[in-house]
Amino acid sequence: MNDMKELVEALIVSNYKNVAFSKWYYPVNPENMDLLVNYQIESLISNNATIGINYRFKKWDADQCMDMMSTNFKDRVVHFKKNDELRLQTNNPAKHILLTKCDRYSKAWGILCQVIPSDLHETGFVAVWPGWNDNDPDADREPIRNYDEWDDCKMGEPEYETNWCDLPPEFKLQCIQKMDFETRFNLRYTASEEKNLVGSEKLHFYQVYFEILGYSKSLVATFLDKENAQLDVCDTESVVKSHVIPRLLYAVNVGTMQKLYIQTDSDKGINEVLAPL
Amino acid sequence: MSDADSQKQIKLTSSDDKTFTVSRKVISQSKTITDIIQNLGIEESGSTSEDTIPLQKVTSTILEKIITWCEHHADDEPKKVDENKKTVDISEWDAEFMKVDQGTLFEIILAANYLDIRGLLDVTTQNVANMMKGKTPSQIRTLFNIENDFSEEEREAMKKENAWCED
Repeated sequence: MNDMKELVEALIVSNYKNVAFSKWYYPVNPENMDLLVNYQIESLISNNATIGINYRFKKWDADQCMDMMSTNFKDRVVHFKKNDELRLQTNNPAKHILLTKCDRYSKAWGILCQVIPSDLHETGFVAVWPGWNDNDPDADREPIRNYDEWDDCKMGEPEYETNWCDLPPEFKLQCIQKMDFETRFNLRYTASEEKNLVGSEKLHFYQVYFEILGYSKSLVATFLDKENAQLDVCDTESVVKSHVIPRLLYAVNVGTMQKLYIQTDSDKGINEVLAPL
Repeated sequence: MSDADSQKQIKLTSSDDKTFTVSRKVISQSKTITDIIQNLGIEESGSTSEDTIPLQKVTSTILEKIITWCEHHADDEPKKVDENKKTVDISEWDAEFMKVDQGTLFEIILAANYLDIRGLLDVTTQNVANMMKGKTPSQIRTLFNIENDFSEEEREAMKKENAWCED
């Protein structure tokens, strides 16, 4: 239970407007996803969540979960259409939580949890949510690079009257604004001013997608913005730790995201990844 | 700007006292110069020094490059401003134009900002971004003569960031 609560409270979950969770295999520990839904609802109830927040839980046994939530939060039930819609009061009279079950054979199956205005009739609220995997099919796969050179203190001989270091910070920022995710990530490891400048420049991701596979201890992290696609595929646990986690930390600190997907078949795996956040 | 105005010539003087004569149409891409022309009421080039615009922050070498760029782009259609899009596409001509040493490139950036030539500033800063793409931090440092000035504490923090599971 503590794991689920920590997951809900993790920065990566609580700070983003659209988050989706999924477990691949049924019936491996289905109660954990139920607990996740439960804690997420508790969090939305007590934290005055922003209207428009969407959390999506991909579950085969959505009926059972809807029943469970209607029982767990029975004192807050405003409306319950058997296994299809559940509407709950929050601590803010102006806001309600609407749980909607989507048919397992539809494109967007699972349970959608939304924060809506309390005076809005549920049939008037249509959540816009794309298909589960709408990654850019043309995303280039970048090779995994050797980052042992990060500590290289080699200093090239100045050859020009004007160098990068002579540029005022505002000009460096103009260059940084034109860099993709990976370039910014690497630049921040070159020097302290560059680290600060990169950290001050926000990145706007269209979608961030994490797929955490406990069986193979691998993680697929996709960072997509409107202009650049970065895909980093890692195959071993050690590579996940050395390459993906730093990027995740950077993305969380500077990124604003429209959609966040987290997909895993392992509760342990997802908690390990999210723990440092 | 009327056709007659576009044919008029403006004299520009670099920081090392070299004079260049360009058409107003060409140099109108520089908002700074356009503002100077309007503010000083300069109508056309003349024989007196008062009709010459001094550019104390731009050397003749750089000014010549900038005039070349402006001449090539004089007939470009105004670009629609997309606030969400930061990157720009670099044309083949611009790519060839920017095949200069780093010092010259950075001086062009500084001059493009001083002269407020938005298109030139965009392609030059994009070029710098492209030069860094695909390179490790060490390679970026070497290429751009960046000194690794992180303190020991900062280095340890960054190492920890990469090896958090090993704690």
